[in-house]
Amino acid sequence: MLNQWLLDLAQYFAAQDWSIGLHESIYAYALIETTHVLTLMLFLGMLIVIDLRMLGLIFRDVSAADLAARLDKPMIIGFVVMVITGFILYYAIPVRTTQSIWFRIKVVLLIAAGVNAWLFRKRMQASIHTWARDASPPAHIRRGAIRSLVFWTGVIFTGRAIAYDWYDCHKPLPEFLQWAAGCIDPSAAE
Amino acid sequence: MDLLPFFTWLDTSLLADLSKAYGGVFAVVQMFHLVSLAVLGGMVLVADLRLLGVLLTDVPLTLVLRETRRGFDLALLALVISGVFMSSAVAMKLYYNQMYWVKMIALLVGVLFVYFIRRPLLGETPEQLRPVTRHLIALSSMTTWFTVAASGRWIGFS
Amino acid sequence: MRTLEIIAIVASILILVAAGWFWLEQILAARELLEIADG
Repeated sequence: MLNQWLLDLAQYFAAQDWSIGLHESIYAYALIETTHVLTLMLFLGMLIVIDLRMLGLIFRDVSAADLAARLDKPMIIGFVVMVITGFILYYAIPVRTTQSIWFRIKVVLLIAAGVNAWLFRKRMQASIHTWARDASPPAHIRRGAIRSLVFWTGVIFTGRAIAYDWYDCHKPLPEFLQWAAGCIDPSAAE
Repeated sequence: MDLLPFFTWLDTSLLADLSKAYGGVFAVVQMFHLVSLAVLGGMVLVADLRLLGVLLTDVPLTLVLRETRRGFDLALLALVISGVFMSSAVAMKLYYNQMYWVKMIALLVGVLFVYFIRRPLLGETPEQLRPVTRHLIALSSMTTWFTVAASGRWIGFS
Repeated sequence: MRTLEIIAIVASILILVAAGWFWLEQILAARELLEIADG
């Protein structure tokens, strides 16, 4: 089952020296985490400005195509830093992270945001010559921007929730949550 | 100026009763704090990188500064409101935390600089300012807000 | 140069120096702590 495979992968990482080193370090984990949180000012900062333009709320006198193109590079730089630091954070505490229901929801939201962004870009490129200079883009573009903001707000919310232990595996959880979070009972006979 | 009486009062205020009651409430408020941080970051970086002449160089400076102003104000307001709420939950702990005071000083410097120096100076004809002035304002702005954010996060580690 | 512009320049330089000094102090203190920990 997927849960077993994810747990096996996490335990494989957890046994590695670098993972243990990060986990036990005085500063390394804290610095990586601080970088991850602060970089959202760059990555999501640029993304939010683009989405607000796509909603016709900001920079209405600037071509939407131009704005998105200009802010793309710093946004992607921020995204790369987020992904790298995010992976290191997972790698430092792999088992608990894998079995965190919030982390799992966050990953689903990240995928949803990615798919939304890809579809959005396709639709945007197909039609942008018709509405780039409009103060307010067409309805389907605005809906894509709202979905983007909703997904990324969800990523922030669930990301923050990972640190809380309300629904950790050692807590009494309903069976559905135990399955969703991948809380595999190691003493269960197979 | 001794702020201990104020923090002692805050620690047992009605606001503290609300913020301390449920860990979930504190967490959700902090999540809004982070979303506002992202908005503030975007507004600060777009404006300051334009001032430095590295981003959106084909858009007039006046326009970039004008368009990022309201988002900055709203995000800052949301950060302060959510920040006060969270502070009430752990008031005494914060009073004795060095990083908290670093953050508050940096925040005060940032707010005073933006509203009493930067906005009045850049408000009229920013294009006519010397490049060195624009660059220094942009660099000190990014440094200040970075310090507010970084020291803020480091409160949790100290 | 206008007075406000001069104030802006001086304030900016002070901010950069203060922040730079503060973060440098933090890095040095951390390094010292790490040396003790390893030590």
